[in-house]
Amino acid sequence: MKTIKIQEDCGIKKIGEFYDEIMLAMENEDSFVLDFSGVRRVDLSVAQVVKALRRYCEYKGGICEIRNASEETARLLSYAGIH
Amino acid sequence: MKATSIKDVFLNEAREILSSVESDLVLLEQGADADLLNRIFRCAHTLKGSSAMAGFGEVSEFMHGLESVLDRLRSESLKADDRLIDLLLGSFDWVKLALFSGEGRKEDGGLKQHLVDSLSGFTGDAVGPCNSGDVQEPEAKDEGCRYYRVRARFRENIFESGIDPLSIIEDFLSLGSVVDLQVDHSAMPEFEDLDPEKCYLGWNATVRTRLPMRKVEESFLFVRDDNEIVIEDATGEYVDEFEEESILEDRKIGDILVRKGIVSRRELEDLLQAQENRNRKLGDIVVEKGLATEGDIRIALQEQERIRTKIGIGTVRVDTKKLDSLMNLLGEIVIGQSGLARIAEDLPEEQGQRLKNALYGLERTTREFQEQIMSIRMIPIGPTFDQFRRFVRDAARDHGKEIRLEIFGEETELDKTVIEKIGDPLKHMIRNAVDHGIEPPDERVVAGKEREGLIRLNAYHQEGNVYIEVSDDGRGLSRNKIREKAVSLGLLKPDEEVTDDFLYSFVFTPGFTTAETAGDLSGRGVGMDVVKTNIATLRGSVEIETGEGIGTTFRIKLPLTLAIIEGMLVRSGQNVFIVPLLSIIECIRPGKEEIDTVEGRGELIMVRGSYVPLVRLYTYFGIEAEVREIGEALVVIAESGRDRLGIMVDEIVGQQQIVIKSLGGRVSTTRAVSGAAILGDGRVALILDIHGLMSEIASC
Repeated sequence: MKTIKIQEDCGIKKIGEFYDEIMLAMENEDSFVLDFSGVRRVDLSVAQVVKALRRYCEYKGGICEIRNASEETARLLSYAGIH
Repeated sequence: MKATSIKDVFLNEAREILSSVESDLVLLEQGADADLLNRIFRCAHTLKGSSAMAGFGEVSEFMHGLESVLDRLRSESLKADDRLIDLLLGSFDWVKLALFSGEGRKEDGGLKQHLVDSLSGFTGDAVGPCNSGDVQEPEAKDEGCRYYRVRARFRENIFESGIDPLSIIEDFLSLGSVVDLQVDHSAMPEFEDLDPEKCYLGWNATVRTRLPMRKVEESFLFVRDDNEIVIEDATGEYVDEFEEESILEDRKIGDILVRKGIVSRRELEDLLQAQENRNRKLGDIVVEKGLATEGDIRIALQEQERIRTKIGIGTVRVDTKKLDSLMNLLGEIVIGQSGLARIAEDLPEEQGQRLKNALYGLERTTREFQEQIMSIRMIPIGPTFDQFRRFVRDAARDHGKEIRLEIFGEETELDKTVIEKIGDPLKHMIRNAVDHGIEPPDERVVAGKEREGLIRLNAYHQEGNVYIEVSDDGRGLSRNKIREKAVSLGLLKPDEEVTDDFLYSFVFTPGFTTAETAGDLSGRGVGMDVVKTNIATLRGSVEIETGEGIGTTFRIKLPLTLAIIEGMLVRSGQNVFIVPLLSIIECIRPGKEEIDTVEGRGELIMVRGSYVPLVRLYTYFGIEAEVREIGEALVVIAESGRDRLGIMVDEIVGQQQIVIKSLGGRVSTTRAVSGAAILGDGRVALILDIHGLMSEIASC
């Protein structure tokens, strides 16, 4: 299971880097841990990538786990349908 | 919407929010209240979200910490003590500085960091919980709540404009309890096909809240134009008809009084009948009949206002320039009417009479139209009063005094222009009350008073005017000191007997102060003269009521509006001038023996035993006059404050209601003219500013 640490300032400006990092990791992995420690809040671009990754993992029979999300981040992700 | 207009909209909104928060925080210091806390939190939350969208990232980030502290206050994890209120006020001050000091904002000397650290000290960390957005089951009937449903679909490239749809949805959901939240992922491609810089998600959500529709719309303010945003009031689907009706019914003050058990339904019916017969406010009649106290009515009025806000009575924001423009157009209609009336005079009798009859109906409609426009311009003085809560709090503390500010008559409405200009004079009077009026606590105790002094702001309508009072229960004005000072300045002869009113009016003389030392706030002999001048500019007057050791009341009398005046038309040669009727004492035809010329003071006219300066309008304006001889000319005696002036004219033309038109900058150098009006025959008449004319004459 590949752990990806989300950058503190991850957002629309750096979403391309985040997406590319996952794309690269997807060549070898079907399950991921997304570590949100240090992330205060996320924007929709991040939430969408997480949502799409979850769907991918489920399709492949893997899992996508979210860890260390702050209360605010968890709430924002829930608004995007990620619980 | 262009970025610049987003910024402008935001800054306008922020100015109002910050002013309201400041006042609410001072109220919070006097006692926590859930509604108050929620209101403050909402304001902070709106500022946080909107500032980010308007490009004030630093402010948005700062607001996050501030919001966390407010959230803890709401959950009662923190107590609103002096220290915390100071910090919150200071924090909002910094926000004000950051938003309004412009590009040239200098470094704040570490103030922001100090505030951030202090706020973190209250939350335990830099990140605090935000408003709960958990989906909740609809609760049983909740009086006053509305349900708003939103369908939001954003354009794919919305991120390019710097807007985060998730923040917008967050903002909407934070308005109240989330009743329903569905995320539409249908447009989202597989991961491999995803363009991470595009927006794919959409939302259908319903929120239950006590806030008005306007607040919901504000959440989507910046995205409504170019995204698919549908907002609807779904209350009917969640609340039964009875409750819906009861919400609407409670808008009326009488129903609130009945619900509170202050009057019975039957008493209300009698009161409403009495109100219809006497054309007075219901609250006044209830108090007069002894059924309730003024305090009861005040509370009921506040509740009424809250209900109105909750159910969002249809309101729109209108630029006052549009109202001014409407008023100007109406003025044109009035001019047209006058022209038609003149034509009617020239027509054969029967036709003329028919035209006059038609004009009579038109005039009545025009007058009603005028009254409606005027009523739109009227806004309550409450927010102006509220802004002094912080001022009194801080000023009292700086001077080691304990002062309570009481506000009455917040609902009293004045013309917007008057409201905008009355703030400074009020501030000055309050400043004087804090600095010189209210005694230090120990001195008050010795005098048998409560340690805490009282400043009271009150506003009310009476006889077609608005009265604003600034009262304090402090030392009062010292008759002897004022007299001594007036004599020392040569304003009064040592043995001259004058009335109290006359004597106290010296405090409005430039440079006049009885204070032994000048304080930070006042006492330098400047200010009260400015108060008088500003109030005179508003065509108002101010009087003083004072008792040594008891306190002082400054009572300002103002016209309801500045857009229309009752004017006396006077003629000098071919020119017509307008003298505001309120300024006129009398019109006389003096004899030559009543005129004197005094070196350095020009012509004076003897009026009832006193000399009054005389101005010949034709001389002052450099125009031709028909009547130049004293004895043939008429003199209008006008007043401004305690000063009088004789204005020599050829004749009195008549009296009429005047729609004032601005002269712009063309005659800005002449203080003697306050505006102009267009007469029925198309001629322009200048409106004389009596106070300005007096000043001009005095400086000649």
